[in-house]
Amino acid sequence: MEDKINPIVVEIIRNAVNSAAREMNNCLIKSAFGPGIYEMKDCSVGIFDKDAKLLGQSSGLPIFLGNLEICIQIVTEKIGIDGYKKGDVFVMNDPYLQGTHAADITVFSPIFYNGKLEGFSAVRAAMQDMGGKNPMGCADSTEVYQEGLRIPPVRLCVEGEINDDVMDLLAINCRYHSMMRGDLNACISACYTGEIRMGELFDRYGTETVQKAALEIFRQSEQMDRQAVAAIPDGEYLAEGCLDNDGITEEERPVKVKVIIKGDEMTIDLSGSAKMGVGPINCGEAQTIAACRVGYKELINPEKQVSGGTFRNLKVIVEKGSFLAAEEPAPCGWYFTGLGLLIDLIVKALAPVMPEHVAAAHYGDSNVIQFSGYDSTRKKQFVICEATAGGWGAFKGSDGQNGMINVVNGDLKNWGTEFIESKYPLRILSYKIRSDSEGAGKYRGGMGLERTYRIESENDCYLMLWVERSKTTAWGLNGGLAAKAPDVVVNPGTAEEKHYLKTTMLPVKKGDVVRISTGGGGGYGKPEERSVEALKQDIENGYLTLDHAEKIYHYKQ
Amino acid sequence: MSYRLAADVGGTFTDIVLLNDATGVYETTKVLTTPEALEKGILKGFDELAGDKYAEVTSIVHGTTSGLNSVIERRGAHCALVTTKGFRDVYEIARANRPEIYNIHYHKPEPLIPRKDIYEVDERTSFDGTIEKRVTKEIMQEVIDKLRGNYDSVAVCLINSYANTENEKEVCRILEKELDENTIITASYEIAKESREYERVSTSALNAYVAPSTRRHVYALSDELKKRGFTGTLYMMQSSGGVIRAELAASKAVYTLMSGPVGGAIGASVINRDNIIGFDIGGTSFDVSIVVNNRIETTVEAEIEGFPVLAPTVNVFSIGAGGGSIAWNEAGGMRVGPKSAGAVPGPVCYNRGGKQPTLTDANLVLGHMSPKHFLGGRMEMNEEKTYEAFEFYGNQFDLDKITAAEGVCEIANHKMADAIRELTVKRGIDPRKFSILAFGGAGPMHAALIAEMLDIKEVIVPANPGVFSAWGMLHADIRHDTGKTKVSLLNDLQEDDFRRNFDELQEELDEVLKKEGIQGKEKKYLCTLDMRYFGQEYTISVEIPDETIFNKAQIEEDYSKIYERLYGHHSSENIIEIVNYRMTVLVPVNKVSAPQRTSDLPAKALEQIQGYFESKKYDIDIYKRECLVTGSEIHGPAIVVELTSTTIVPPGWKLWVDESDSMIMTSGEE
Repeated sequence: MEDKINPIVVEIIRNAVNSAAREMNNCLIKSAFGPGIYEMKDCSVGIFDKDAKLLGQSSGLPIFLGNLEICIQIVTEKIGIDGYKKGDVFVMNDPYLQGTHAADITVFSPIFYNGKLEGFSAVRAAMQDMGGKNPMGCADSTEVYQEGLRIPPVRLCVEGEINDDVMDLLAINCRYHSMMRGDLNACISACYTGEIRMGELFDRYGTETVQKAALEIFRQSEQMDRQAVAAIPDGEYLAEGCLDNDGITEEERPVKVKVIIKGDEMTIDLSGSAKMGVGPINCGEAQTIAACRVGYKELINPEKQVSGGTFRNLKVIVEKGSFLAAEEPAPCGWYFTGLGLLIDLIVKALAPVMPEHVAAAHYGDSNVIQFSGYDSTRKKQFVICEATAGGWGAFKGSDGQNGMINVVNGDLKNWGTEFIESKYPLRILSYKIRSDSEGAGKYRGGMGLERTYRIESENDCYLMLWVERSKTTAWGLNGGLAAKAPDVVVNPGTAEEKHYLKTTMLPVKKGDVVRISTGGGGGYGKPEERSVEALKQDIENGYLTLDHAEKIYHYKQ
Repeated sequence: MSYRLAADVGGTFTDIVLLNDATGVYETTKVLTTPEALEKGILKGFDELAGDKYAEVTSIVHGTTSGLNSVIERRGAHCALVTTKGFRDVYEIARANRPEIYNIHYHKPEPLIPRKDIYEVDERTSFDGTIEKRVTKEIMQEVIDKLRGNYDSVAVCLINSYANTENEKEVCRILEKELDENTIITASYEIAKESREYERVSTSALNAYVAPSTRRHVYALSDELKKRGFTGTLYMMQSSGGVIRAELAASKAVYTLMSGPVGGAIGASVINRDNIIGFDIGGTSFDVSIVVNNRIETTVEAEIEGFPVLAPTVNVFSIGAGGGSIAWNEAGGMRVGPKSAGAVPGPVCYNRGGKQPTLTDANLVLGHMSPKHFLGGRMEMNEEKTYEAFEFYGNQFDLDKITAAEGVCEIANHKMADAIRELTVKRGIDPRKFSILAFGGAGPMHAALIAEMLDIKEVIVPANPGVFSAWGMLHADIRHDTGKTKVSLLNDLQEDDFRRNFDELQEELDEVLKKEGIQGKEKKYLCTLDMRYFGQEYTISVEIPDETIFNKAQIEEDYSKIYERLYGHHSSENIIEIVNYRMTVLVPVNKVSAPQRTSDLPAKALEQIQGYFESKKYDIDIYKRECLVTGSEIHGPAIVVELTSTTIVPPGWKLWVDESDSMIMTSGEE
């Protein structure tokens, strides 16, 4: 074979491209202005070949996996492969095209070398605000137009010069103008970093060698994936669950997953899932596919690098009209709520045939809590919005983890008490592990968390909540039990005590107390099989109360 | 005569250096580390070199990885943690993040202090420092009863103690009075007076965890040294690259945890070049540090076993690539590392049962090391088995054994070069303007090849590269760091506040120096501000050259310059916020470079072996390092062997020895 490329060069190029992607990501995170990027690492970067096939990536957020390439494909289709000029940078956020929601933007630029288009570098990053009817998103939108500025693919830079018209338009439509500018600048410089580093690689090896190496890298990924899927017995595997509601109408929203294994191919068929809803749980198809890839990746070679050859043996079927294939003008603000469930359901479906790889469900939703209003101490408007951590599922040989962020949020970090208190008119009364919230089992699920806030501002403030998965809580596997549901209570223990899960702009005043409790993770194996030693430690550490241990685990002192 | 001693205590070996302060002449030895009682190994080495002259030794400095190992192996003290009511779980919850995003079996680092040993006190300080609920003995009583007699070490970390230390101080005062006097109490404000409770509690818990064993070690060592007539000062190496009196180190043990690899970085800063990339290649890892304008790079926050540590730490960047890195086949792709054959079974050539080819094996196949002279000929190498292993490995890719071995080397070298590139470019530094300083056993073997990839023109291999880290420690200044969080906008900052903040820090540092008995000596203060654009989280440290001069415009300009260098853009319309004030005091030690060696004989090759560079076969001259003296010059391809290290001079490179006995390699094009 004269075409065969030296395996040594392939490996050097493979490492170098991933190193370049890490460098892009560092550049983005360190220079970003919005906490979504620098603190929550709500971003992802990739380097692609000119057919938009992934060469290397560095990711903070798993659900951004595999829907950057579609953005490039869409633009290439629109302007033609010859329509790119060196230094052009495109920006977009249309949820029906890229997936996700308005607050996440995609920025990408062509990589030119010696005057020829050789690939692309792309960034997806969460902006602090994209306009819309409420700051940082709302829980009751019924049309995409309420959720913020919708951006089709447009040029943010033209041949290396920032397009001020576009920059100004985007900045002015967002509540934090200079933050928006800063973050867009960070995205641009990350993209250019990718181009520079790829240029160095082309200098060393030439573009043809890099292209050939890419094909070999894809082949390796594909081979590993096919081998892993072939090891699963052929068959159809089912799982289903439901979302509590769509935020506007009351009825439950089923998610149905059928995983079909045939030889070395996997198909994930979502037919029969809920139809597009009135409320903002809808999700663009590109994003649904990305979520299926996460579920797939959790089971198939989770430790291996993703490349353009990964997922080639995965097919996803979504019906037209499904809430998982949203069309204009369906609202998509909370698109990720269904995805957390979907990802866990893929794992559940395959549990009978992949016992070593699976885990019971995790608490599953971002459980977003947001306070806003006027800060009487600092004399300005404020908004603080946070996804909260909960319990993770147990698996063969191990308990689940207590208080860890949900799958769709990846490596997101929580905000500390000292940080919150120094910046916002809130007092944290406690932040703790929620005892007895686990799904019981031989290996028990992780515990949810509980955080209690008190409002400190003299002026009017508002509470927004989007807390899900109270109906399909984290299930157990192999006889393990399901975990406790989440709960939010305002002014607990008083005459006005009231419970909520979802609400928009609920007025709260100084001295009001809000307590959010997140769900636990599911258990693995029967609770009565849990060892006495483990239960003793659980009780000693206060994870389980004695009463709970006796009742659920039949613990005897 | 006056001498100084250093010991670098590693996992397997303890390296000892005895330095004659006047002449710069030094002696070295290597002894086995004695993990059950570190002082034994250290003293064995000391006795060997300085047995008859302890009275003339003015100071001893040592660094150890033992504290770090006790964290890794979970062998630390039985500790308790005392915190604010409502916040018992801050330590376990941590930041709730999940770095392995596709791993549904991911575990957070197991807390060093389990939940049952964490106690709450009903007290509260607000974010602005107002004490809302004071600490009293009555409030503390229940906690005191539970702590008494049950713990070796107690960490105290209260919410918002960075804004006002009163309550935390009071808790510590009460505990000191009520608990056994041997109980070590770690107050978070004394270790890290910065905002962010999880990072602070993590740092405090680590300190509490390692302090008792550090104290035992320091006492045992200084007792033994006294018995031997040593009357000088015993120092410990800190992660910051400075030394601290050993008695003080016992209560700030967390500051010494990452001291293992810093000796090399300090050594690099003494070599007479302004800009150096220093690296060490061991069995499993490749450790890089950077010296810019003669200064070692430090960071204000490090991570140990997944736990954040708010302590100044020399930036040492590691990747899993070393001599033991295994070459393997993944879906028809060649991979090298990060898995390592370790010491057991080790590389194939060690003949201890290793079957998978490693980077060291590749070097042997390529003739990049002399089987006869490895470790001074103390270890016999099995060449035949090594060739077979590469024959078999290469076959899987249709490569002959030489090409396969060359590939493994090249992949590993590229990985290391990529790591250096990421590290330098991330800081806005152009690696081409740097020299490489290579030390450790395998560093000098790969240095010139890595330099070629990075377009670096000069490689330096110091005298005794195998014990370079210990030698470096002898050049560490006495150093103390302090800092405080005080957030304000640069625009709003008043000169009085600016001065007061630094004055307070300076008082604190002078107090520590007084405790150490250092007064009236030459000392140097370094002031920095951690700043960011308002709205950002990450800060950039900006040095204030003279803290007596308050020049806002200059501060802003310096900040913008650094920002531009790091990120390629800066924004004059954004407001700058000051977050932390930091101050460091340095008391310099005598720095002497190694003296030159001379000889009348020309440098002569010991033998010639055959080996490969870029797929071409060469006759390679083997030299003994002893035979190369100041002024010697040899040309590649050549190999220089010495007891603890091997240096490769590729074709097209020349090597000469400078007046400090360092070998300098330059690429022939110049």
